[in-house]
Amino acid sequence: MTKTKEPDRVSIRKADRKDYDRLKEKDSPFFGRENKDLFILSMIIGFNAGTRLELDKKDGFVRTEYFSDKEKAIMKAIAISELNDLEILRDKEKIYSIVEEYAASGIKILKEEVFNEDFSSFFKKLEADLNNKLKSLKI
Amino acid sequence: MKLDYILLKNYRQYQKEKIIFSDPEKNRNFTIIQGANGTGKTNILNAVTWCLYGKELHMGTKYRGLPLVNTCSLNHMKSGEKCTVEVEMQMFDEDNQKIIIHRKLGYQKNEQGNIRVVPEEQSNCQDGSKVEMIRQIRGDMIYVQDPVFIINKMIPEPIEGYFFFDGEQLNDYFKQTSGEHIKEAVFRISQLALFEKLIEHLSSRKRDFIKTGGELSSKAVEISSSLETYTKSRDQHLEKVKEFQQQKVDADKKVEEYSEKLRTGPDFDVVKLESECREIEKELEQLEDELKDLTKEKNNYLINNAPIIFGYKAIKKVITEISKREEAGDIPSDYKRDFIGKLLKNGECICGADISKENNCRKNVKKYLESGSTLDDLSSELTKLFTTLTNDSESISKFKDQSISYGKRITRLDGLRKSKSETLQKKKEMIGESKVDQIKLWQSKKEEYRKIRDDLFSEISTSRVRAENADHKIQELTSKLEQELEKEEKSREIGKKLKFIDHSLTAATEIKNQIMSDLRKEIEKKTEEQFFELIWKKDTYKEVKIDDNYNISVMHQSGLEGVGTLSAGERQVLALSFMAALNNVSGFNIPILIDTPLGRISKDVKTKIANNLPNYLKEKQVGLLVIDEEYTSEVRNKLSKRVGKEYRIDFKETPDGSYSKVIPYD
Repeated sequence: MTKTKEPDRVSIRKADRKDYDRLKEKDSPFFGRENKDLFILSMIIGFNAGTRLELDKKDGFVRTEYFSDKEKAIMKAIAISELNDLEILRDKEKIYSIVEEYAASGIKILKEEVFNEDFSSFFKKLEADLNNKLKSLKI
Repeated sequence: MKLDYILLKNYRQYQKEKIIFSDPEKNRNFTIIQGANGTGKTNILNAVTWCLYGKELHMGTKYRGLPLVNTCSLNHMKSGEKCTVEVEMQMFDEDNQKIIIHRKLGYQKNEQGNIRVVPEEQSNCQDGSKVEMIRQIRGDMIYVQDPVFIINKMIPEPIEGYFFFDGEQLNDYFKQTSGEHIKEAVFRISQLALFEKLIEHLSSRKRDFIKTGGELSSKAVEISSSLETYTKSRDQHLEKVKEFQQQKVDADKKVEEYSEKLRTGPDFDVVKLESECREIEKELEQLEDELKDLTKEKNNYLINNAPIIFGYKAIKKVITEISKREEAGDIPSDYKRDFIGKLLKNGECICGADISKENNCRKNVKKYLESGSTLDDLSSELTKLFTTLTNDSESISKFKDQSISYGKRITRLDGLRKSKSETLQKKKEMIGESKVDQIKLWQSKKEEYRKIRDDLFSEISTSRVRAENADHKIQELTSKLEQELEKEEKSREIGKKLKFIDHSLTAATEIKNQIMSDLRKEIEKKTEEQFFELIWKKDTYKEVKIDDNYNISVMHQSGLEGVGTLSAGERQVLALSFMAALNNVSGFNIPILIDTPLGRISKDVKTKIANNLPNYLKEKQVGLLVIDEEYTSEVRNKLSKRVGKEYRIDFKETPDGSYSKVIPYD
């Protein structure tokens, strides 16, 4: 497998920038959160939904050095599980490209869930989804 | 500025009184006016604000709605006769030049004995009165052209309450005044309006510049047009915030006014119920804050755990795969593939044997290379990944319990809040069912203004959010515009100038914020010094804190906030300390008039304040309007060296009406 260096930043779809900005505005439950928090949440929502969306026009969003070890570990786990191959760890560009595509799909779901209902509904739904997930995992 | 005298003619209790405040001895800057309740002390404060603004801003419920004219003077009026109410203040400015402010309003009695206001010719006030201002310029006394404007510039009405105030009401000061309101007042008091003007001017120059700066690319024109739209939108929202805030302050005052009426009204049951309502409202406020904080904490917990739970399958899969590879001995491998590769390349084995040619030794070394795991170089990364993911996956076992625990705590608080709300509602209904029509009206008015206040609160939040969002967009667009202007040679010069304006704007804003922050720290320090100097439970409290939004806290030794637990007297001392600190750092040199400054304060502390206040306000001219119980012999003794003029109000009741005389102390 090709060995590639860790990219210096993860990207989002250029068209999604305004949605991320909207999610950080003062009336949003994510006000005060950083770009990387929103990226991780979008990524995991996309992963949970099982859909990836290719990035047509890329827009640099978060410097990879800002991600914690825990966050990087989850990104790697997603990429490994997606390709069923531990060797993917050599190809950092590929890892980030997979999680970027999950985030591109997740941001659509996230935005809709946050702004279509009131914020308390979003968190109620998130809690129910998390509990259902645990149930289905038999934990 | 020094107050020389106040002249009162036919005003409230006073028929014709001249109260001289200034004293030839420089350090005798205190004036005492002593009088029993109801003799007209507070009306001296009202006379000052009426003279300045045409409004009696310290009016209690007793006189509200009654004509200003003295009852004796009124009763002596014949039908058709006119009687003029006048208040005149003479002051000296920093150059010792006289400033005279004079306000008058006429009343006339008709044949039925009713009186009516006769608006003054060229009246410049809503109540029909007319104010005049005369300034001494060298030897001449000159009428000022726009007295209303000049007076407001000299002593702005929104901050008069920090110079002319009722000490007894200070007890409720921190309960009724929002941090924001105080912040706004500090901003005005510290005379930072100059920076506001500078920022406003730079912003408007920037807008003009973008419009007329020269030839711009179509992209730059598009950005600058959006910039213009967002700037307009932000300014409109900020204007709305200001407007709503003022309306909210007015609504707050009305709620408090009707609540006070109910608490001091004729029905004892209602008095009790209204006091209970106030207590419940306080508890409810606290419960709502706790509920908000806990909900926020829970939501953060959900967001932080979502990646682990939703990603659990992937995490588990990776953990299992790494474990399998470890068991198979692939990671870590016995030999580093890189190392073996190097031996083969160099042609010499670790034991010294020659492996440069295809001999048996080289074949054996090659076998090790082929049998080694391809994951060998990923060993350390995989081990680290394994540890992190294992810890994560273990942490989700606690999720269910933790989420249930949050749910229970929130339900309990919410239940408590609901039950308190219901009790409050019942008590309010009981007040509303009073047999006294006046009480029903007060209660419905109170609720009406409360509703207005709550609606305004939402409006303020919405407008503020919109303004902040627009501001965020403006910053983004400004940076885009600068980038765009950089692109083309012809617009590079405009770009440079725009950057210069932006840097100036940033610098002006930073300086303003720095001054505000320094002022806040200074006020905090002085309030704390004064509070601990005066407080009698020194070991109970640790420090006084004023945050960026001017929320004032007194910290217990335990580290908990304690303003809510202060006694009425302690709260009054805290507010008095704060007022003194504010006056101390303020850029306004205005005389201070305090009504009932030591009302709720115990004897020992009264003496301490009397000892301390003159040092604290040594550069200020201070008038204290005191009742007999406040002006004890100890207090008088402590203040004696600083008191220039000392008066007693002599109140007379006659069959024709009542009047007060202000006479020098014996």
